Amino acid sequence: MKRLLALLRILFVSRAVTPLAMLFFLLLYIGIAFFSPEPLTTLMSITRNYIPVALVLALIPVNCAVRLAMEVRSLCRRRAVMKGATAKSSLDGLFAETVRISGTLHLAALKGRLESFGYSTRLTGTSLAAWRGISLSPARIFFQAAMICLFSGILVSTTTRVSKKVAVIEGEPFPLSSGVVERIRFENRRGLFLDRTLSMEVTGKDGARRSFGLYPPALDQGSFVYPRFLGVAPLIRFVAPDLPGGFETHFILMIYPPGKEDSADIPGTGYRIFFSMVKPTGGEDPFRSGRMTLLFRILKGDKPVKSGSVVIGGEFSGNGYRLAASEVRRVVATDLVRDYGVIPIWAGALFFCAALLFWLPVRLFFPRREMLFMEAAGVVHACSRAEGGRDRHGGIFLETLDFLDAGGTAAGCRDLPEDFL
Amino acid sequence: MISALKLMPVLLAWSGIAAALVRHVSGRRSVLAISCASGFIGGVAGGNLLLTLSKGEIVSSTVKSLTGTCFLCLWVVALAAFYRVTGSGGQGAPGEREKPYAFTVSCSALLAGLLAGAICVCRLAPQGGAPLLSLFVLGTAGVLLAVAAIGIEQYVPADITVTGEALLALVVSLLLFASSFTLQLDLFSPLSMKVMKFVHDFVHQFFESMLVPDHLFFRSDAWEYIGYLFGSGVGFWGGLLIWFAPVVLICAAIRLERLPTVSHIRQGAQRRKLLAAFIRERNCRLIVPCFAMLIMAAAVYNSLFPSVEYWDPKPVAVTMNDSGEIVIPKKGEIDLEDGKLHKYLLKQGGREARFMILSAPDGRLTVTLDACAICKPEGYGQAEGAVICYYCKTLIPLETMGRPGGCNPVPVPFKVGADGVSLDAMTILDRWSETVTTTSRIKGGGK
Repeated sequence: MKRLLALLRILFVSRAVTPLAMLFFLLLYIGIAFFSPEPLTTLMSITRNYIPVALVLALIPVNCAVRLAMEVRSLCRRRAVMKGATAKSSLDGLFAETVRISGTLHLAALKGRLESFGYSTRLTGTSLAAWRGISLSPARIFFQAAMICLFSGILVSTTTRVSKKVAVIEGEPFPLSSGVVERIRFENRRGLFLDRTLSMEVTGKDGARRSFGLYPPALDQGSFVYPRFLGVAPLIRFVAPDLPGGFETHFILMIYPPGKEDSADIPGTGYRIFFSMVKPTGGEDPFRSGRMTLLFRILKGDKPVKSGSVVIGGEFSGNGYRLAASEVRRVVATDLVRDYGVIPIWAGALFFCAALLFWLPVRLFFPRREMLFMEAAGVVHACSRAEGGRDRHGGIFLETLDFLDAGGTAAGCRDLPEDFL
Repeated sequence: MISALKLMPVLLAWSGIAAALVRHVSGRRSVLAISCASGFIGGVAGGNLLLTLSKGEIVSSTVKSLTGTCFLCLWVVALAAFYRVTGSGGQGAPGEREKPYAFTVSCSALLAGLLAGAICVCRLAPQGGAPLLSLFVLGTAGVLLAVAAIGIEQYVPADITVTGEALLALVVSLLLFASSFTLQLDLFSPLSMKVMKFVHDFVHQFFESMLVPDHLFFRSDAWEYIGYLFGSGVGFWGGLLIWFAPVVLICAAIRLERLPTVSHIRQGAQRRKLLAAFIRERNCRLIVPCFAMLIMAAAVYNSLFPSVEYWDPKPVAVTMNDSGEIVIPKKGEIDLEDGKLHKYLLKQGGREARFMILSAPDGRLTVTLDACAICKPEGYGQAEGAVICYYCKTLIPLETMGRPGGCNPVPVPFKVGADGVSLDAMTILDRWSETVTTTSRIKGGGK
């Protein structure tokens, strides 16, 4: 039991766990890349289907959460020590360097000396704390929080995502909540990243209106409504020599923007019709206006039998074939995605930005440097740590030790040269 | 003579490996010399045997995989070194390093020798069948060079020390350098392509997962920027990053080693002396990884500008006859069965298409477009035993010519008659347009 607990402790606490888990996935990816043309999707599928692999991924957010707690604890302890509030035993692991010198502290002289080097000081009883700059702890906390959000988001998304493809059609019921799609609007509106807007306006049974846009995707009954592609649903009436009774239906054709081709089968006849949209010569967008000309090719089996074009509201006929398109409705191919990992991943991205924005200027211009001098039972404990500018800080620390060693008198100190080290 | 010149850089790389190994262990010269020599001879003999017994492709892919595994090991070691130094606050006392075990070093020398020997054989005769005399000369030269390198090593300044990480960096970089001279063993080009594929997949998956709208809704300028991620430049720069990162990490790990604690020394002069000695020793330890970085740069250069002369004839203009056929005689000015690539250009009514005819090693004629279904149509050149796609640098074995799929040239239907090869002109033009339209839709090709 003790061994198991020790192992769990290592798994949760060690700094090596996250890089090792990432290395595991990297090696897995490389291995898959040898055998699969789609290694990324295969890796995601393996993570989704094999619990041990998902558990390895789960180690990352757990490890980061424990490290975050340790970081906060360490920050609190260091603050307490610098305020002179705790005993000497709590210094363990807080400083990079600790030296013991016999003698007594001349705190006032030492305080003045450190202040002359630009350090802020705090004198509390028999201890003197000196510091410069800003601590990077907030950046580390943001970073760990980002890692937790990102990897828990990836884990949740990979293992629980459910996606369903539906077609949202004007005048038809909306696939999720009860209501009818009144109108699909597609407009040019220049934004920061997007050039166009799309809104699917739905009227509920109670008369309440709701609009589903592009980004951020709207949530409906726990699922994101994610519009993908645009299409049209013309009402097509098709008559052929061997189909005198004709066939009429709304075909859903994903043929927007013009140039794309889609096909539809006439059930039980062997006929297949390929449609595409004529590129308008004017500036009018056919999807927006609803005015469009459809190009078509009719195949019976593999054999082409007729081709031509038909305007919406018009009819084509020839050699016993007739094809009429009396009306058209707008269609949006939409994914209904139930994914609880999306929001944590975005939150993770925000935390990463915050961590970077804090870390970069502080690390470059105001790195934290700390010294602590405590006297207990005739022994002076001198501690030092620096998050940046180590050489200069180390030089000042050594000079201060010399100063203490010389009994805290002016004879024992000297001005630091620029190239102290 | 030409073979000797071809092998010179590879053998020099091998002697560099032997010198680095002996500098790392210092004092076990005879053991190391025996291990290096036996490894190299084993590599040459084993490599040649496998090349003779099986197809060249299998041996080269095995050697390539082994070199790739060494590179992966270098990555792991570099990350561990960097992690150790940054994790311990930069404390990694140089004095704590232990002398490596003779057994470990001998095994490493043996493995390095095996790999270097196999690389030399692949360079000498990629398709196998090297004469015994050439193999004997190669083995002897490899052994003599290794022994000479071990002897010369003692004249290199003693300050230049080789740590375990630096040794691995140097050995792997020399192996990569040696591999870069042989098309079938080169690692940088496939790495660039894999990076490109990964970035493409990742961006696509990111858009899907984060429910980002498709390009239909995007601003064209914003989409242009995203499009850069799908270009071959990303593959190249990403490949460079992965290529150099382990050596850079090792350099950083050495440079970030924190100065030793001197707080307990009260004499300033003694402190400065100690620190200066440490800094000097640390700087000397940087020399070998920096040298490894230069060698890796040379390997990239070799990969980008291979010294191999591709056979790439100027396309011969052809026209169709009244029945819409192109007839190319088997013999005549051009011998279609000479095993060389022959390119043709068809121009018809403002449309044009490039195609090529090649006699495969089994004697069958193949007719293909000078383009594949996934890359930009930059064409193919012929190297030893393979044709190479100029765009993605993928080698297509001659045996697989005429087969569809992947980066293979798109096959075209044809008939072989007594008078030559006949093809339907419209089929070629249509297939060319279809292929070029599909590949140009995808930025940077489709790989």
